[in-house]
Amino acid sequence: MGAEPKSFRMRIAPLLAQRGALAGILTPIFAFLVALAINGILLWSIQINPLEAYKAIYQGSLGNTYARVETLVKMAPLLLAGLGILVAFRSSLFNIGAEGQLYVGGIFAAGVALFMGPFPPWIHIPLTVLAGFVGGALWALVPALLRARLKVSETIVTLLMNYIAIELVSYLVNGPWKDPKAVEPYTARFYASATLPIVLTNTRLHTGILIAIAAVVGIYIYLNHTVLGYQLRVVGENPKAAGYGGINIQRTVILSLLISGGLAGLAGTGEVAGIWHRLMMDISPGYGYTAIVIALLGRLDPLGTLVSSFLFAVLVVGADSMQRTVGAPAAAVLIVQALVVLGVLAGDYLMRRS
Amino acid sequence: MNWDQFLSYGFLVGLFAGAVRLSVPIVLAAIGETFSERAGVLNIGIEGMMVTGAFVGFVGAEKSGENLLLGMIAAALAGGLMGLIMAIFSVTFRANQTVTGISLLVLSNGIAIFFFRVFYGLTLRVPTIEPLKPIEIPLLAKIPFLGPVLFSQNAIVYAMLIVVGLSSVVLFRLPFGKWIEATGENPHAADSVGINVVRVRYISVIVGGMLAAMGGAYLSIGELGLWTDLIIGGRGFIALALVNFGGWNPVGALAGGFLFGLIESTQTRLQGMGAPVPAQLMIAMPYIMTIVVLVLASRRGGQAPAALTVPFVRGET
Amino acid sequence: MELSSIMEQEARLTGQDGIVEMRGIVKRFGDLIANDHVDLEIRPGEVLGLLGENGAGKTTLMRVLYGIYSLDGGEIRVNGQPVDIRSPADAIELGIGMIHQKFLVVPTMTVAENVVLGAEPTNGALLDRGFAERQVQELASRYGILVNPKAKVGRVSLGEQQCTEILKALYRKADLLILDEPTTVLTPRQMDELFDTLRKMAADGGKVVIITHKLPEVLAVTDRVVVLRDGKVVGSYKTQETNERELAIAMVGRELRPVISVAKNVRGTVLKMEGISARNDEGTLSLKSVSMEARAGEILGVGGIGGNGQRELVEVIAGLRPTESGRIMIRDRELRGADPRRVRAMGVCYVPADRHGMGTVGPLSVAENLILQRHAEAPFSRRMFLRHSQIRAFAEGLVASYDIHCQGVDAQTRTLSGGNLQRLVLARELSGEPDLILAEYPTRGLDIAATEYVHQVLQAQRDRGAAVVTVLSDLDELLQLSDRVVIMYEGHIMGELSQEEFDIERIGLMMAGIAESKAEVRI
Repeated sequence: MGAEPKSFRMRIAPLLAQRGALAGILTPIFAFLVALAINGILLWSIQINPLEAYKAIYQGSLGNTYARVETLVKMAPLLLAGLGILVAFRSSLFNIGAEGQLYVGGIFAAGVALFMGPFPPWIHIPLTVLAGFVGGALWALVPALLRARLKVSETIVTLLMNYIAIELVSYLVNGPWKDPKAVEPYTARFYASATLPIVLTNTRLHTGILIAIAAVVGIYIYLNHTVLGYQLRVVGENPKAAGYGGINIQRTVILSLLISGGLAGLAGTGEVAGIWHRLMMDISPGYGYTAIVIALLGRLDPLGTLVSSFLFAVLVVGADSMQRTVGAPAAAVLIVQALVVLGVLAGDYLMRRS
Repeated sequence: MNWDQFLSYGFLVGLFAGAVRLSVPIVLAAIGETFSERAGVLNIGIEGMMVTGAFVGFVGAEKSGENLLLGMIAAALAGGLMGLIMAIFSVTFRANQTVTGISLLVLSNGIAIFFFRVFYGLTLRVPTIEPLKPIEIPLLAKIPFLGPVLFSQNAIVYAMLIVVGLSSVVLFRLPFGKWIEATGENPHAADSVGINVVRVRYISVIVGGMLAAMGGAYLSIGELGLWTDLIIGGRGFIALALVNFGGWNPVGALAGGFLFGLIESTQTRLQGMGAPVPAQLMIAMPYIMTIVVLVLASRRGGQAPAALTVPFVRGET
Repeated sequence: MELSSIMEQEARLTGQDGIVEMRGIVKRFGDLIANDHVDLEIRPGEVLGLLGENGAGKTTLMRVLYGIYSLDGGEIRVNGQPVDIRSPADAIELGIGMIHQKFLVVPTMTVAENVVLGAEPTNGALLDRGFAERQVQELASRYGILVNPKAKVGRVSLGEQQCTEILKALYRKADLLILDEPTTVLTPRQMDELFDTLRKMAADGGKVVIITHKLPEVLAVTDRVVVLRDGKVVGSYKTQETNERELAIAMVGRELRPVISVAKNVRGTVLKMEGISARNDEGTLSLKSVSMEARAGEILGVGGIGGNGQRELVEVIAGLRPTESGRIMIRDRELRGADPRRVRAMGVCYVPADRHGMGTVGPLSVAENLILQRHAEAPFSRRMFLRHSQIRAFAEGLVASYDIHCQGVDAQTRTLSGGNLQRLVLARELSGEPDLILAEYPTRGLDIAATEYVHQVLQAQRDRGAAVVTVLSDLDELLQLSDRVVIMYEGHIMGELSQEEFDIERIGLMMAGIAESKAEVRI
């Protein structure tokens, strides 16, 4: 794992075989449908009517106002983390550590929201959000440096740091940051001035979704309209040409992972400052891994990621409903996720052959 | 904390015996991955194959009236199946090996949690089975220190040691082992002398999956006697790092695995004794150590198989 | 396949022992006829040289024999019997072995392990390493091959790696050995050892074929020479009965076509190289104290058989490869160290041979590719932002003037055809009005129209006053386009000729390694 990574082109070319072409959109759609079909067979094998199950998913996520709001609530962290993965993958860096970066983002946000203040909201909230971004970015800095300077593969390091991050949160909420008034392991409530305002009254929908959508625009602009974004794309597609074009590859790699981690950190910020108003364990049911699927399904494109994050928010929210009403385990969502990615990979292969 | 207790004979015996037991899953997974990587395929999904093995092994054992052997065999087969999928995607489809591996991890988790719910319902009662009992080897078990540490272990521990020996023989003393090496270093050279690169890679990855699954199954049926979705907890990734650190050699994997078993064994005992170190730091220690291992290994220079992660296409040198 | 043993027996009885015949071989790649009804006889006890320049068809012919390519016409006979060779495995069964230019060895294994790979001797089920090493040693001694069977191949010299390859073939009972340009990586002493080995093999009744473009070698070791040109056999000679001149003319003999255009305004020196030495990617010295000049208003063509240092020459000037000694001056300013950005700043541009690798970034748009080196400069960017309107305008201008066929400047670059990709690279490089243009095989893979276009562009640049240095593999093209020509051989410049001095015989000799006179060539 410490060996020199192979040519970027060989690593990413099979990943993005058909970007931009019509086939680029067809393959994910097709893969998604195939995944639903295979999952349907699985459900049928345990005597559950797949159509009922999918209807339950639909009802649970889009069937009424409350459901739709919940879907948007879930979409925010998925979209943010997905954008983070997008940025990393576009520069040919496999950041599998979004989960950990999300948690550390939450830690930093909690730090500001618990111990700094009181400030007026117009100071406190941006500060909290910024802290979350910085936290995620810092957590990605270690693998970034190891990769840029020592050529250690970022894949494993980011993965391992997920586990370390979880322990870090556990330590804080069970120890120094624990709410003295509570028995459960979580922190005290954040300053009200640091919590993200609700966007839709009487719902859980917080500003996080706005931040996420702003991030879509921001990343789109960054990648396509800035010098650094251009450099990131060149480094990801053809490092040889990048060197020839005078681009500093090491700096680009580090910057890319910092942004990637920062976005995941924002996802964590949204959860702690927008929904729970505390730091606690288990704030993420695997968003960091789902984000990878989302980014790949979205063909590493900001707009595509927006669509696929919505799609997966539907699945994630609907799955709980499905489990309650039809009895199909919510873990089916994980199966669909994996099948989708495998389907995309298989589809790309078939496209290349024809 | 009682430091005298820490250095007592009884404590040390327990510590090392525990280390040997705890090293089994990582060692088996690392040996499996050694096969795979020596042939040129990087299988990140090995964590998923351990999850699969743990789950299938547990279900197999539990449903068959605690027939642990059946559980092991079922786990190996399931792991082999996962390995086959990995091989299809990475060798035939030439898909990105990292992405495929992560997908298989998610798939394994999904299938395991899904069917666990199906078999055991959405209840809070945790199904358990009796884990393996130790088997004492006559005479050898009486040796002071080494006796209880090495020769009073359960069947799988002995099996692990046999696997280490067997793998070393296969990889270094059998022609097939040379074919694996050639496939991983220069597949074109292997191809030019008539070695079927595709077949060698498929076999290596499938073997890798089987061993990893058996490693995972050991945790659920050999050690803990139950299954949860967190049971593997990143051991697969640690095993990945150990392959590198161990120099792509089964004995190296054994050494590295034992080291991590020791860390884990120390951690559980220190926690139990009320050590003044936060429990979470102890739990995080293996992961931190793995990163350190990776850094050290990278400084030692690349001895990785030259064609690792490079798909083979005849004619494209 | 029991055919070989039966054939061996029969052949021994009938006296047709061991002759390999290729009759009327035809091999096409698309429209290109690489082998045009070639007849070749390979006889036992003989070292045969296959001589020819780039693209003559010699490697293709042998690859057909070895089963790497399938033949489109003709037949192959071994010991009088027609055979069907579909893969290297078939060829190996027939006793044919081929040593390629790029060795297929496993660096982590020993020489012996490499030789027996795939056919390892075993003791029971286990490898019998000692037996393998003894066998390899025996084989090596028989033919005077000096190599240590226990040495790890990754640590031995390239010459010893080649020995490993030869032993591999011999271990598999090859009695026909084909070597493709075998001496490229050898020291003079290793070359002598190789020739001794080959002669021993021939004396032993084996057959040896050497593919080469080097006359000194042909004369040193072969018994017979067959010369190929443009896919056809143009001559077959007994080595003892021919000479350099005859062979050189056979190799390149042709009517000189009229030049395309003449340089009108040759001015001062732009590039001056003195005593440049450099190594290639494998670490071999591929430029040996080269000295050369390029002048403004002139096209300097760098010719010779590919692989003799041309690529390294251009890379050294472009700042992509470090030098071991010597100086490079561009307009009297010395170029130190390998820094492509500085080189660009000095007014040098580089059109690489590899359009897809170094040249362009496929998924990015045409416009984005056109500003690759200048993306961070005004007017294409301001502060941190790209200025797409400026980039687009610039790109559209270039697309128009270079007639790049694409679906707009926002089209993905990888949708462009080869010819249009080359136009893109040219447009990008030449848009800065450089003083020195380095073009490395600029017409490779292009059709006639695209090739002519490239010629026009280079000539236009020359007429503008730039110095053009271009490496070309096609001799016709080289002589039509260049105002002056240097021929490279084994890292040296064998000779320099101006347009009036173009003489096919002199050029052929230079390409094949025969120095004009000891005094003239700087070795």
